[in-house]
Amino acid sequence: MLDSCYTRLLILAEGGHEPDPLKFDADLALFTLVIFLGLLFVLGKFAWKPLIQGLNTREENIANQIESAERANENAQANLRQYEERLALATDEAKAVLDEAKKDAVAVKDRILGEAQEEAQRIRDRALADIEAAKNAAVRDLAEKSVDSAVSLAGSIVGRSLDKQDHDKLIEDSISSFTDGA
Amino acid sequence: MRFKVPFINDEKDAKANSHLDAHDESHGSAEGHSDHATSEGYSLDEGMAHYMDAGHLFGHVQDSYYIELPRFLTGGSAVDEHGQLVRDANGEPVKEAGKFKIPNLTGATVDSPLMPGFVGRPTKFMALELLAALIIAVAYIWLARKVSLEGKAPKGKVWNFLESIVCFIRDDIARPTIGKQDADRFMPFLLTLFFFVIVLNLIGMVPSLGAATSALAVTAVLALITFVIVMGVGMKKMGVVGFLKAQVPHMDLSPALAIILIPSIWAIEIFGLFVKHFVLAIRLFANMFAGHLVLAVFLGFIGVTWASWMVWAVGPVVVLVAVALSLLELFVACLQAYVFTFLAALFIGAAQHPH
Repeated sequence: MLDSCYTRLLILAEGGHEPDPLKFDADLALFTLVIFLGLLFVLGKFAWKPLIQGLNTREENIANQIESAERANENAQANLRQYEERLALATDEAKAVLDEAKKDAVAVKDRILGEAQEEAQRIRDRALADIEAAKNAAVRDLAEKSVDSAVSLAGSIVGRSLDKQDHDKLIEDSISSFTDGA
Repeated sequence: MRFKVPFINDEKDAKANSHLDAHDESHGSAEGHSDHATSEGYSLDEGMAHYMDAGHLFGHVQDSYYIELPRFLTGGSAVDEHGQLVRDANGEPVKEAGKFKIPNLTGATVDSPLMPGFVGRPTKFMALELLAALIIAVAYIWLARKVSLEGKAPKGKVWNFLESIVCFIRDDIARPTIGKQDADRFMPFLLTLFFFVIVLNLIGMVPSLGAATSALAVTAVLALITFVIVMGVGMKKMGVVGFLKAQVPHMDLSPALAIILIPSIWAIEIFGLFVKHFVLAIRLFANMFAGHLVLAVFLGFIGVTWASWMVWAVGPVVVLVAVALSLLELFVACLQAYVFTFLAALFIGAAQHPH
């Protein structure tokens, strides 16, 4: 089998039909030239030019978009910082206001409480004074009545009327003894 | 057991002039010389051996007037040159080898009288180049409309995929080699070059079709166009004389040395300019040709062992190897398209900014 294969190769070599991998086909070369240049022309016009332009435009757009996005981001960051500062400020203010309000409230409370206590004290004092006065009046009243009745009783018992001077002196004495005793 | 493997010489008319039929002819001529061959076909060992013929193997890789298909797809009975049915050893008609002929639109079969050396008959690779051009045009004109008209962010797998390749060529090939300002001017050429090569390479991975880039004529034309652009760019930038002068780097030499050295360096540099573009063509061609040839050789092992029990041992191994090689070829198809484009961009960049 190998022999015949070898023989065949020899025959091929001698017969002038030696297979030639480097053979150059002019037809194919010409056709390739035409096809390639045609393809280059058609694609150059209808594919590569618009495609590359489109890609460049898109690249520019994307670059612009990224740039504007970055700018927007920076703005947003700045705004955020500003708002945060303001917020912190506002919080402080609110806290101060609240503190003051609390302080005020405490002061008001203290004042009202104090006034109320004072008022209560005053009312009590007055009540006590009234009671005292009433008591004193009652005591005096009682003493006068007691003296009068005692005098009249004594007068009736003694049978003689005390003169005016004696009378008054007696009242005074008895009152003072009452009050001293009270 | 004698098993006649037919060989169909269906391109007899073109045989006289076209090297594309060398594959067919190699068997035809072998028929006449071989003791074992009959007028109808090959004897067993001949038939097995012909799978390993360089002519047969190259025939699978090189350009032809037909697309090879599995035998069962064509199904017709094989007929020899006398119009007789080809029969195997048991007298059964043999099926014709599966071939889909490329329509001969021009009707040409001999050298054109106007252009000697040209036949003007459509071949498989021409059809595949046309197919590749259509695929690229449809995909990228669609993409260009999407990108330029809609102007929206890329959406969907296809759009992203197609666009990412363009961006890769711009950002990783054109800009680093040519420079950011000038890169856009050469993008149409580099993109067309890259897609033309990679699509042709990948079409080569479709069974029955072939890689047009495994023909030197194709890669040579691509390299030639690159060469013309490189020369044009350099001469436009520095003038014809300036460009030729710029090939020699500036050196501080004594006048005596300069007289000897500068012309010889200039000659070497100019020679190198041609060589590097020639190598550009050879590199792509050789990679594609060799890759597909190795695949053909491995698959040929099945043909060689077909009639014996050995096929059961060899077949599965060959299938596994062929799968592995095909994966490698997929990688090579992409890599070589990248390398070709990258070097073309590098040469353009070098012509613009010498040394």
